[in-house]
Amino acid sequence: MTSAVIAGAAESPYTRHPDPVTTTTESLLADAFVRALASAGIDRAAVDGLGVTSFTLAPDHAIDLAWRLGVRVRWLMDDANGGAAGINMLQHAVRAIEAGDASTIVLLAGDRLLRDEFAALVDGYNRATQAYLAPLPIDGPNTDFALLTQRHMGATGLTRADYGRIPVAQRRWAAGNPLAVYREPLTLEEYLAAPIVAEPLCRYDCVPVVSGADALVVTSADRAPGIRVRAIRTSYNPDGQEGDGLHTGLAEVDLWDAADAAPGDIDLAWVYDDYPAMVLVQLADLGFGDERRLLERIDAGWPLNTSGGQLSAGQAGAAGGMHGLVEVVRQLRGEGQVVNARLALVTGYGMVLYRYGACAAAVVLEG
Amino acid sequence: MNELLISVCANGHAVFPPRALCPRCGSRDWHEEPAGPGTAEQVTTHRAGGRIASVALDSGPTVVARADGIEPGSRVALTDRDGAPRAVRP
Repeated sequence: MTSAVIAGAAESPYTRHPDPVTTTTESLLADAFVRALASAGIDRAAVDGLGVTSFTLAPDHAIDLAWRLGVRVRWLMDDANGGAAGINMLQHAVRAIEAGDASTIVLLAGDRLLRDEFAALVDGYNRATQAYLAPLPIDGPNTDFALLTQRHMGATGLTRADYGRIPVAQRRWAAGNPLAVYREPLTLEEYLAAPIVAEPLCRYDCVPVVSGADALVVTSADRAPGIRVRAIRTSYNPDGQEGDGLHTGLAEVDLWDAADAAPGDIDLAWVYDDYPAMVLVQLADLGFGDERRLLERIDAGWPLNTSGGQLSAGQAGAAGGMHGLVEVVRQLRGEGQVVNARLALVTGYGMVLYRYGACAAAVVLEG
Repeated sequence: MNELLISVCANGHAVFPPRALCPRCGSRDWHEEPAGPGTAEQVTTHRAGGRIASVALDSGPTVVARADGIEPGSRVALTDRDGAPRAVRP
């Protein structure tokens, strides 16, 4: 069986205030497409598979994008799983390459989100949100995750000063990522003094909304060198939204057995950071141990969310679920700050159906 | 203001928001019942001005509701005001 690799990865630079005339969702996705193929050294004519996730591409779909990008494909995928979509598409693309359904697949994720577009997105996220959350005096998922973080505080005994260590550490990493929208140092004192969005969350616990796109090129190992996918596992709708949101379901999937690895083997990690508490929830689910020990490792420079994470690099809508894959490929190729990294973990999380995310995904990559 | 209604299946399993099939028994035979009392387990105040609670109903479901003047841990009833759940003192 052919083995699949990630041969290219790229990001169309994130911006906080894009020009609404010259920057569209399509232009961002096209820019990431061109950059990823260039990074793989693969010509557009070789592309025979295309996958896309975007909240704002509608009414267009993947087939419209294939037309507009000028690629004739025999494998096509539209994905709507938000922060888990990048890894979900990668799971399908790897199988398609292995099965011979396609030979070179480009996966795209991105959104242009002007202020009004973001408001429309969060109010119309799904029917449950439209009916029962949008009429409340809130703006998007921050309130749900304020309530969730309170539950996490109750379960772990952590305080605001503990959660703040995550955005502070990630900001240190962001200084080494020229594409991060926030790169200036952040101190814990500044974090604790920042305006509250919804108790206990402050401004630095909530991702800055940006516009941008990410792309991966997946092909067979005999066509191009690349990053190997050791294993992917996903968990969708693990508890029907009837739990406390402090478990993603990733504890019940056999990621480590499938990857023939253990948490201690991981050289760097990118864990979906829509909120600091969710970083700790996912790491706990995946067996990385006690929260306080983890925070000590994060303080000490453990390579976690080395792009700065979404908290510093920004969240470009659906691109948030592919940003970590692109960042980890950059690091495993030796193009980032982490030296001699071989095994990496990337997670995705998202699709808040009512009270918390219902989609979780994790992948172990080998450089 | 009416009491918030939740969905109850033919076998008495309560959910909120509504589902197509009952997650427990697979029933598609739903009717609505008043939500009944619950406890405001967590409460936050959003900068947009709203005080919001996660309310665990005695009947099972957890509801995200507007909760002006409600303290964490307090017993509440849920009303339906313009489609938005609102926690009030019973």
